Amino acid sequence: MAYEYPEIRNFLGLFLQRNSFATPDGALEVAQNAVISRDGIVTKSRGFYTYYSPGAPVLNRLFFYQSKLLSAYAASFNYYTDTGSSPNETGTQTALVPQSGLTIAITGDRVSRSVLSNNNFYATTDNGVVKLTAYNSLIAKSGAPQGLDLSAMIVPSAAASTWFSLTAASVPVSAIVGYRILFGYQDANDNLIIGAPSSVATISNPVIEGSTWARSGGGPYTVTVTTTSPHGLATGMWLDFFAAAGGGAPTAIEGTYQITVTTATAFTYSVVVDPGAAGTQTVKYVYQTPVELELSIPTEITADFTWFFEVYRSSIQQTSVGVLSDYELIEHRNITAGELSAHVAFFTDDTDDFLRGAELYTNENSREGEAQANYRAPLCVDMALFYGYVIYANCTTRHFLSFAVVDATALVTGVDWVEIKVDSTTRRYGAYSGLSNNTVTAPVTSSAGLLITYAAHKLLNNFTVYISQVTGGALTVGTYYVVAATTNNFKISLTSGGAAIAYGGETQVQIQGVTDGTGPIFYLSDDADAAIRLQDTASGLVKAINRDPSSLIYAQYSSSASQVPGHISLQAKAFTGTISLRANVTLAGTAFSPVLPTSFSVGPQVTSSNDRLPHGFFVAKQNEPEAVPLVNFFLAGAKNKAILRCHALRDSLILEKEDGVYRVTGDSINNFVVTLLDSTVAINASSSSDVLNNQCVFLSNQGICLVTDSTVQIISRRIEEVIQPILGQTNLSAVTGGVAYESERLYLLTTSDPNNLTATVTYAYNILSDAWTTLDVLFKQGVVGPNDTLYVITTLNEIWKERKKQTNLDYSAQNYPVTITAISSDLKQADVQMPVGVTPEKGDIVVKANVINRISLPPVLSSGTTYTCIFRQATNLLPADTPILYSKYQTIIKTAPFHAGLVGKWKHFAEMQVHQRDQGMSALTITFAGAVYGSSEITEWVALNDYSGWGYFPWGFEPWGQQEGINLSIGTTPAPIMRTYVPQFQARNTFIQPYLVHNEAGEPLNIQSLSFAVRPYGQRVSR
Amino acid sequence: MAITSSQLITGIKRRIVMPTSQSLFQPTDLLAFADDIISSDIVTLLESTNQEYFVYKTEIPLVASQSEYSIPYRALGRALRELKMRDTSGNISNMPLINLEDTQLYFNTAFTGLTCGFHFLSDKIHIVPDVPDTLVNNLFMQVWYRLPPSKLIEVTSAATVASVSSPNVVVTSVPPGITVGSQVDFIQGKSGNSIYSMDITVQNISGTTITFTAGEVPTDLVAGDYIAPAGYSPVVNFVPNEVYSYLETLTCHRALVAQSDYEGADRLEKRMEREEKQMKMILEPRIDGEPTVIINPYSLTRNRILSQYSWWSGT
Repeated sequence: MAYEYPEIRNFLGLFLQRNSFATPDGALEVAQNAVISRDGIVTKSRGFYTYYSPGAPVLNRLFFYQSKLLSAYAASFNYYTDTGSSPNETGTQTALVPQSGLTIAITGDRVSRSVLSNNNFYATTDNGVVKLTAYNSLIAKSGAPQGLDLSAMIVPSAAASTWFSLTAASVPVSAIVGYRILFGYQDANDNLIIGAPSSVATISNPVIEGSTWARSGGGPYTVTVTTTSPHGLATGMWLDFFAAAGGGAPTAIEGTYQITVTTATAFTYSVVVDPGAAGTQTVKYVYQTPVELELSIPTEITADFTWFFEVYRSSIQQTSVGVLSDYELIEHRNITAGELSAHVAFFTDDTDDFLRGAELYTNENSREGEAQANYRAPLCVDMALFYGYVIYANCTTRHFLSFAVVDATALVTGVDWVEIKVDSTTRRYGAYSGLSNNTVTAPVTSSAGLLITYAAHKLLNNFTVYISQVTGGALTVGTYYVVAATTNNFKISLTSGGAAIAYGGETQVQIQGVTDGTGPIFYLSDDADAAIRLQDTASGLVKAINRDPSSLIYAQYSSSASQVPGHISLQAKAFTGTISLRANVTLAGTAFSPVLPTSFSVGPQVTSSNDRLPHGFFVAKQNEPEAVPLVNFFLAGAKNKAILRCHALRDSLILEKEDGVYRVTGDSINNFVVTLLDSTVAINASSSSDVLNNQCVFLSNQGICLVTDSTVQIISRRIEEVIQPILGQTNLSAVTGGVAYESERLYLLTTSDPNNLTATVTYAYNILSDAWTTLDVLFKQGVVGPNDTLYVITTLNEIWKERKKQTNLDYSAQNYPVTITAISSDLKQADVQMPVGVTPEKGDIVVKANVINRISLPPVLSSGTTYTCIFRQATNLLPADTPILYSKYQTIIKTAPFHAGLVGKWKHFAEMQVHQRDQGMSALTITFAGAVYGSSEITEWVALNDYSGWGYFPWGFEPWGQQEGINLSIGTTPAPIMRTYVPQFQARNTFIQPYLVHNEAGEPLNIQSLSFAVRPYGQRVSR
Repeated sequence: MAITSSQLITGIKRRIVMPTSQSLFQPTDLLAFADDIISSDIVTLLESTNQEYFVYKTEIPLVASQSEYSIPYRALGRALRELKMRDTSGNISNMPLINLEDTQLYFNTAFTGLTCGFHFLSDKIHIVPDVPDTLVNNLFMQVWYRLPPSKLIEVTSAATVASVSSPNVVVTSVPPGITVGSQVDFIQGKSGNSIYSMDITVQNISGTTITFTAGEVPTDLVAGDYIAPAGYSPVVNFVPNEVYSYLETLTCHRALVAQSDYEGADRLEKRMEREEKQMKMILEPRIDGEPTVIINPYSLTRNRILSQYSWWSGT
């Protein structure tokens, strides 16, 4: 019977699951370092080389942003610039500088995930989401902190301020306004980042009635007003006086005048026209003086950006109406360096009402409402950008604790304190009545220095105070030490216990206490009014906490108008552990509700809590990735099954959970709907997930899945024999990483194999050819970086770069600079000096001037690090040349059993041919497996190419007069055919499996066909 | 010019367009095919011409009381071409083959040296009458037998003689198969490729110099000859160059059959028939100018009577 000549002309990749006798021709059982990127053609996968080796620090993730490669370690972000020349550029790493107070931490199982939005780069860390505005910019916390404590007060001024008054039928009525502030900045990409507004600070301008008055002097005339209760005014304030309605007071006392306080219940002002003697008539007055706002600046706001605060004021309403949510902008001001350092700013409101501007974005009804306040993103596991919304998945909120001051009298001034502990940081806040951290205006006189008078101030020497305003003199605003303290007076010094500041003509200062020398102090109110005691004490504690630069939390006074005063909310600045409170003694603890323990370990504890939403995701405002309203969250599936990854497809957001795949549809947060796509497919390895061809691909409990907008498909069926057994491995997620390579249509997955618990293989799936192959480059994570080139973090903790210059050198591994020390006369043998520790091998290539010189025999060490190398052709090398040696890597192809259609018949496989698309390989090692033996004699094939002949290569395509150039060929070109006999013990078989090993650098392989000469026997295998 | 085994392999590969890289037919496989062909086809072809291509002579000294001597181990077909007895004076007498049935006729006859016969006893030559306890003269049994060509090996497995200075022979390189104590054959490098001497023990090897026992290096040995392990040769011994083409064809045929390439084998068979005829035309007669002389030793002109004695003495 004559030969038959069956052929394989369409390679299909790995088929490891199906009955191997029923696979189509072209099925492979081994396809290592190969890809089926062109239909039916086996091509060598591109090589990789070391781009950057970090040493001990462990790489966590690579990113691509603004045409640069970025990386994350456990404690840093970095970017890379190319060093060296093409095609062997290596990376120079530059660490990115975090903003002041920001600590980069990516620990445990966390893998930093990223998203690009508004030209910014956002990445997850243990300390929340951080951002870059450029590849080399500062690393900043995403978002802006919310506004903190805000207080409003009437203050003296040089001129009257008339905006804060309200009349009804020309009669003054008590008025009220509210203030809110927020912080923000404009980032380098012109994104306006603003935080949540502060709570409301209200101030009223009541009509004070019933005050008596008296005239003195002879013109101008001094009017002395005596109030029925302490007036709380200060010299220099402006009041608008009215004769009491129906009281018959002379109009001469009416008008706006600046006052001088004489006693706690009396003040004077001067009029020109004689009002006459006072009778029984009373006078009433309202403020005609500016409102001063004092606001704490969050310690997270630093000089790294140009931060501003905006002040919004509500419309002036009658007190009986109250403050409306119609805040409008009255001030937009950059925060000064002094304010940043003191963590406090003051703003004097002298803005006429008609000058109010833009509405506050949280205004109810007219704007987004309070629920849409811009809070910073939560701690999250993954992020995605979907229809302009940044999604934060698997979230944890900051710790939060509410408590209240319920009995300020239980606290002893100067003795008691409250401690707040967060993780290992404990901050103590001392309770002091008197001046404490209240902001007051106090007179200044000269008495062997600058003497400040404040009755029963309770400050002691070495306390620190902050002077925010000075009237007269030359004293500068800032922090000073208290010296020479007496009951009602004290002096200030620049140093602890130092010389008192000299008097320079100052008349009064605005001052507040800051610390008792060791820790912050808070105002312990001893006001007779219980409600005021609670409010002032709570506000004092809030202020002390917010001004404390070492505090890990923010505080808010949270009692609303309808609540009992004294409520405080604490929120961690970062994603820390619990917040715990204690007092120094039991009695002091009873001042609070819940009662504070005296120990952080004994007794009922007062601790914070946070929300863990492993099954939920927050949604930022559209195109405002740093603004995440607290209410913008959605839940998917069971709470005890986390969202491990989320990816946005064209029309869906896919949530890859531990209990299934969920889909979020809708194009606006208002119509987002979460639906279950498949409850039987659950992601097994979070780092395996990526998006390819508008589909999510990941390793699941059912193998490798492809998720579209509407379906879940198992794509690893063909290789299930090696995928299914690993799915139960406990550390599968830790050893598995995947990356999608869109332009190559590839999905690469490094994972373990059925016989190992470590990463041992990388599977490559071409989504268009539907073909699986493998690579031996093992990685934890990868990214398609600059120039559409793949970079991976290998399991060796190095960054490897794919060779992708579209030359034959793409199919080489590591490069080494070498020196030619000698060359034979026939130019076929050279002594090559290698770098220390590097051994050249047969199959490596030495490239000079784009000419490939191929080492054809195992090099022999001649001396030191110099090896004698034999080359296949005459080289273009000369002594003292310094060419580049590129190392090889193995590509192995083994077909599925090839039985020529008849399994049950003995056949004589006489001959095999391998046909190439081009001159993609010049050497091949061939063995065969069959029904009886696993291998065979080795056949070493070397192409008998003579490239030097005229017309053998396209004109100008190869370097003149040389043998092998680096350019890739296009289409089908003349190429040697690998033809061999099947060795003796495999020739007579029922099936045969060629095992082809290509071990040459700089060759793309490009096998297009395997053909056989087969003669079936005339008898069956058995009877 | 002799054709070496490597040239033979190259010719085989060229003739059937054998792949340059394959492991089915190693050079040793092809040479083994050729060995088979040589013993089964070439030797018989040459022998059929009766031109004594393979006849080789050796002398075996007679030992007192030893009547049985081995047939040379390389003798083709375990057969002898001729047997004679020589004494130290150079007298030679024929040794007739005596039928076993007649041996008793000579048992009582005294052994006189040159006057003896033989018969085969298994694989031995049994001298009749028996060799006595004491030999008056040293006697040598001259044995002619057909020495088949040695097994082929690659040229690299043999040593090529560079120069001779007996007992030292300098070779181009010493192959692994030749070591001190091993036995070698000395083979003519030029066409004819006769075996000068066989089974010579190597006494020493120093670099590329091989030393033998004095007197054992053939005087014919010259540069270009080969020293090969005993029984092996890088050239086909005794075979005319013209037979190589036929040998090549037959070996190719064997390889194609092994490859199940029956189509190719069929085509070669036609050529084989033609080449065989042509070979015979070339090979015989081996000499055209000299007819074979027919001698009748028993004729009246040779003055001998037909007697048992004369027949025995070969005169």
